[in-house]
Amino acid sequence: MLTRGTLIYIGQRLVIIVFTVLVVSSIVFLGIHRLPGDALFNEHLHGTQYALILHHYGLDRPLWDQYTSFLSGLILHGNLGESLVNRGVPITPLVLREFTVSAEVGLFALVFTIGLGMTLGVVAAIRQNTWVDYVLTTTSVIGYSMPSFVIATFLLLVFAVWLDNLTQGTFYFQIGWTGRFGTIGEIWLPAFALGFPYASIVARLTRASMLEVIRQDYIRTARAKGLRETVIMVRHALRNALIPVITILGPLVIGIITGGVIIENIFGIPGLGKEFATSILNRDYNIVIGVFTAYAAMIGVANLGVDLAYVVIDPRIRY
Amino acid sequence: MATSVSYPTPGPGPAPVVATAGIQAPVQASLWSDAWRRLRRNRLALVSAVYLVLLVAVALIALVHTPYSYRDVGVARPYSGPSGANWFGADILGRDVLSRLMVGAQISLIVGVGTQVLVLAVGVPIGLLSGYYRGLFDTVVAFIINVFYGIPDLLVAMILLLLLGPSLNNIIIAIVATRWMDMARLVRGQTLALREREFIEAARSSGAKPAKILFGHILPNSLGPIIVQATFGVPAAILFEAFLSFLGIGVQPPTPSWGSMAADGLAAIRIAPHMVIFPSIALSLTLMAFNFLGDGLRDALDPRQKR
Amino acid sequence: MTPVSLRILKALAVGGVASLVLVACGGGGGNNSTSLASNQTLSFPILSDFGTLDPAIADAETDTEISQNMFDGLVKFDENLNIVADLATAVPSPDSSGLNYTFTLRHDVKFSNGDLFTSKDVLYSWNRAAAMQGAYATNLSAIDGYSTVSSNTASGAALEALLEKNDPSVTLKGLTAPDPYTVKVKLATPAGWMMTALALGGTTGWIVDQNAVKQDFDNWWTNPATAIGTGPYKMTARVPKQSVDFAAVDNWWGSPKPTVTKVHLDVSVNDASTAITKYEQGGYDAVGYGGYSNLPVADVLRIQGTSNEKAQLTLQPKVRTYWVSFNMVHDAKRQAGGPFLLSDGQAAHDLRLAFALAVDKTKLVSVVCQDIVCTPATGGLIPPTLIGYMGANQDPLAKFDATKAKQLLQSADPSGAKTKGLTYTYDPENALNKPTAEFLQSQWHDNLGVDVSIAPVSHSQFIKGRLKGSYVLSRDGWQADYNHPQDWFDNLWGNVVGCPDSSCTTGYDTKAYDTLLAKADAEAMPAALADYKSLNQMLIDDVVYIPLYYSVGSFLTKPYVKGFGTNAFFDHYWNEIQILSH
Repeated sequence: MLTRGTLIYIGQRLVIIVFTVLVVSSIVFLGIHRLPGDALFNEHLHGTQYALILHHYGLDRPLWDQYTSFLSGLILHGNLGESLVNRGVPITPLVLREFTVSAEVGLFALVFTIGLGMTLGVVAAIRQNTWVDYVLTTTSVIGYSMPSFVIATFLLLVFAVWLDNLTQGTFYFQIGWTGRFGTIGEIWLPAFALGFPYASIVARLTRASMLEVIRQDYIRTARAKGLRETVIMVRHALRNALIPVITILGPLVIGIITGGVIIENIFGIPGLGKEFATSILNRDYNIVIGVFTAYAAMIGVANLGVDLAYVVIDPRIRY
Repeated sequence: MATSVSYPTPGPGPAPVVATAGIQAPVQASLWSDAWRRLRRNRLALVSAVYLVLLVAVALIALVHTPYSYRDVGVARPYSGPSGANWFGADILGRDVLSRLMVGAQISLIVGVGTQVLVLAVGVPIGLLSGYYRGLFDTVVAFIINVFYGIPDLLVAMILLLLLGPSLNNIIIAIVATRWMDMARLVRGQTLALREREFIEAARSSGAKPAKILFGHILPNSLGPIIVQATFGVPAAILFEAFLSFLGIGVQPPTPSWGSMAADGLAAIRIAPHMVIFPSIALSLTLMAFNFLGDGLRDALDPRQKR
Repeated sequence: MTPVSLRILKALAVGGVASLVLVACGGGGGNNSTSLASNQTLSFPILSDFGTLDPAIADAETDTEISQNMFDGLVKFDENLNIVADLATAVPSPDSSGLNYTFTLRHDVKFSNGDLFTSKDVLYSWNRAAAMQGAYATNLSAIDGYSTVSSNTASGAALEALLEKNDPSVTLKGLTAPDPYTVKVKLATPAGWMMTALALGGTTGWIVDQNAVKQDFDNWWTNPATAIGTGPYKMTARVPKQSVDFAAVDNWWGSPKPTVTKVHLDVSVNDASTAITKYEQGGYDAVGYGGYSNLPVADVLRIQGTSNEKAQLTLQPKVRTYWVSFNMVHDAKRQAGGPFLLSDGQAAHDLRLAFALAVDKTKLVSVVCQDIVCTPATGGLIPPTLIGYMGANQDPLAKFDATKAKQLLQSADPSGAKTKGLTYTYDPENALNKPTAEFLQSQWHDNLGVDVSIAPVSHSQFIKGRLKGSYVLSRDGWQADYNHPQDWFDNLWGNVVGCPDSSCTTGYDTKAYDTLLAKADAEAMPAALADYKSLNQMLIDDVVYIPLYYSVGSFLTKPYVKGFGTNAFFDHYWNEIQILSH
């Protein structure tokens, strides 16, 4: 499967990703970099301090000048600049650290979404029109029809408060994030909350497409051949039912990223989403640009992953 | 037979279910009556439709009468739960939750339907022109669509609202600005496929003006997927506003939106859960209704259905 | 909760710094509740990452209550709000002229990097602070030569260069050091308030180490390597926007010797309800420092309803008042304009009065604070127990009179054109600000028929924008630094300190006010009191504020934490805190 063609394709895509990241970065940079009302605008600075600070950030140079130095800094050194609000804090390490955090939670959420969502979808399809089906369908509908901040707060209530009280402090979800990588105990609930709405969608999709596939002729043939039911389901039906799921994987990843803004806020997780929201409100344009760049990279890579997943799933697709 | 797959709109809310639609043969009267017949048989969609009609009724009633004024502070003890005087309890400032829910219905409908109307107004013409004429315009449009396809719309909307300041109008603008591309993409795809068909060729050679071709032939044949996409766009927009409210840049007081009511109530969820529960139920029911209706429309308009 | 054996091992391993750790003897019952835990780590959340910890320019209470543990001044406040000697050996009295003070310094003080503290550090710190012109630089304004230094415009490395060579433009004439352990201060005019100002925690007058500062003039405090002070705690780690760690300084020179060996500040949770939940889980030892002293009312109500947690909640009236400020000056610097300008004479005055009388303050307190976390500010802006408090119900601006308000509005703005499109701006970080804003909006709508929109602006931007005169109506507030009316009248209005710098939100600055204020500042109590009362009356006559409420701080402390808490003015020092075994 890892043919020369595939490798060339990956290479091409990576180039496109880099290009897209730069384009997005540039658009955001040029769009908001020196907009009025940035964090420095309101600064209460004495004497020459304002001029000095502007100079420090290079904000007193012509826009084109600033842009080229931003680009060269980004491409050559990976340097995203310095925070406008928290002086002396370089943005690249900050973004990288928070990227790790968000990526962890996001990956867990993604795996959970697809895994749980597909499992429940398959179960609901196999047990169509039974009470199992009805319960699962109803839960999934609620999942994507309720704002995620309500679901997340409710989950927090159940697992961080009630469970804690119920078990007198033995089992509960611990709020917070320690160290660089967090712990499983700190990740699972936010990941669950993040993935739940999307798992619901995946479940519905899987169910619908499984139902369609089950009716197909080749399934009947397989049954007639005497293959066991599970074998039929997994090897034949599931594989084909996967395709629509892979189709929405791209938007799914984007959804998880945006959902992260809300979830990280509620669970107090120091990730990119929370950073973005805080920086927007604090008008720290430099960080906004930096976070956006990181997101563009994440999404580009995620889309590439999705396309590669297509290759794995559907043997007809070749690059 | 070409199939165009329209991706569910990525966004803060969960993406609506994939809408797939085939390109149908030239419009026949039987398509719409077939669709209507199928829709009527879909109980879930019917119930949803009824619910939505009731919702609109409530929103209209709220224009002239609510149990209390939605902005009257202290009509009940703050945080007090449902009671005879306040059926859904009172909020953090002692305002009547029911009255605010009723006015909130107006906001949800305005945001939901208003954004989709604008999305149609912007996305459909651009998609038609882009797909029909190709050329530079199309290249530019395709480029914009592809670049923004990979950018989370919530983030862009947040930046827009940062610049414009949060208000109902600006929120609608921000949502439309991040969503028109999906519609344009859909319409463009449909147009691209349809323009090669014989009946279009026939119309062209018989001297029909482009406007007539676009709006008289191509558009009617694409209406199905467009309607479905717009229907799914409504709950997505409503959810979008709820998220913006949670982040503090949604509709500003005193205007109540279900999203801001739920978000404000979160802090008191342990002593006054009704402040979160009722707006959330309102949101959920409405979102579900639109989603089921969308599902129903999509199934009804899918010509591959044999029944 | 670590098992007993592990505790003992830890105690043995830690050794020196934890020399005060007592381990519970044997296994038998014992007096566990008064013996210290072996793990003396204190963990609590702070609302947001620091604005600045540099004493020269710090002005936010949330920052100074952290930095007061990292730095020291020549004098400081003790927990009973008496001024006591800190780096000096005694609190000096001035000579008969009232102009000369002599500070004798302790010989045993070391910075956390080992540098010896001597008089040159005092000169450097004070000159630097005066030259940087931070919000509290005026603490030094009575010193001879301040007017020269305060007009300095150099900053950053350039300023450091000037300080290094003792350039006269950045050297206070009246500040001299005849020997390494003596500092002589000569004032230009007598200033009874100066000792109080110097005692203010973490602000101008507190001592920094030149060796550390000069390595990064503006950002030395952000980095554990250069955040050097003489206090009992030093920064050991900082993950921006996530956490900050402090450790007790080995063999610290002062007293009481720190018991808590590590302090962990959590920055990542910035929602008060989540912080409280984490506290209840055992993730924090206390909540209330660092901007969290305004716990949401809903949580306070809930906790008061519990049986066990109730005891952990402390409600402490803080000397903190909240009010509404008008933008009263419009010029090149202050852009907001609006109908409340002082220069618009009687009409604007009536408009301000109308807005003030239209707000029912009692209802505000009852609805927004549930009568628990605040009380109506009916005695002027200076809160009860402080000098300058007018007495209950003495402030005419605190009255609620909807009829009169409406009349005033009619006469001042008959067409309604002036009061169109007004906005009240607030910062949503404090849980009470948004409900207060909504309440004000409803009052002005119901009682005046005026529609005011409310706009949230994030705290860091709000504080700055307010001072720039960017908002027509804005939330305002002040926490007293010390018990002297000068703290209020100097900092908030008039140009002695306040306008156009410091904390002058309204821009209010009249000749009469400034003259009287200068006079009052030079006098000693009780003569000064009469003048401060007159100044108060000026503010009332000109309707400079709409009083809202006096704030009550709410703290949560685990039962095993001793010494955490606050007096009315500031949080208890960390070296007074002890973690009992639990």
